[in-house]
Amino acid sequence: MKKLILVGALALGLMSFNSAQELDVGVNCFGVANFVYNAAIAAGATEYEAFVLSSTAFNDCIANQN
Amino acid sequence: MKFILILLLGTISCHSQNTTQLVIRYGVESKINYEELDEKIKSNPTQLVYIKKLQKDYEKLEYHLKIENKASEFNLVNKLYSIDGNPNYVAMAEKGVRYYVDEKETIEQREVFGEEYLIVDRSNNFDWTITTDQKSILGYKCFKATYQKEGVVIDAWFAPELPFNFGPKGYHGLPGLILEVVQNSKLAYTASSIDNDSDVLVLKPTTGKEISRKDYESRISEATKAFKDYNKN
Repeated sequence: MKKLILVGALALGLMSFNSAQELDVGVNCFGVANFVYNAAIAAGATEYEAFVLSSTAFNDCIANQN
Repeated sequence: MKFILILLLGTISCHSQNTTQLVIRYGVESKINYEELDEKIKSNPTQLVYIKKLQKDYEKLEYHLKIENKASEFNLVNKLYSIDGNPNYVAMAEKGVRYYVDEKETIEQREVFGEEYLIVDRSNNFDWTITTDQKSILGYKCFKATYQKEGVVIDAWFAPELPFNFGPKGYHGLPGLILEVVQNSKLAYTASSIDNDSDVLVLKPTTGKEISRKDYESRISEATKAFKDYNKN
């Protein structure tokens, strides 16, 4: 599971986690990114745009929780 | 309004040897039909909150299309990165993004994967289909043109009365200014005003790592696939 989070996080923004605590934050933020991705597609964004939006949401979430 | 603009355009072109300097403002609206949403999405209250939030975030945005002679630039102008303490992810993602178009090339300048890119493509490669559908935007008769690529459907409403072949988000190549672009029948970028502005200056973006659109899309596709594969697990 945690390995998958890293794969997903790398896909989103080349993030890396240095501790288990940081990794837990990553899990939460990945959930946010997923909600934003689906919301962007529902709103009419292209897949590329939805990906960039979810990546932005992920990085913002990480920055706010660290 | 229309008469004044035509008069202004005529005056400007007479006095400045055909110099065109225009600013067109665009607002954004996301027209979501909640009934048509996937059952899995509809039944998730948290997901619906995010959809409504993003819909509002889009509506707070204002973009400018600047035209100087034979080049244009489209970018976000209001920097509402946070609304009532909540982040506006659309504004944040569009921060520093510029769509530049001239006669030869189009350049999208944006930060992705923590790096600034210049996504370069040749101009006039949109395979538009012009239809007979008409509607009026800002008093101008507009015709609908459509373009489809990899599952994305673009409807562009252009005004032949305005002889500038530019539009929002880098879309261009139609016989008239594009006053509205609708993405996937939902996300609409609509012009709200057109003004002459002698301060308009369109400069070609130069900062960033140059990448072809094809290579950029391939990189994003790979990353999106990894993201989706993760979400399936």
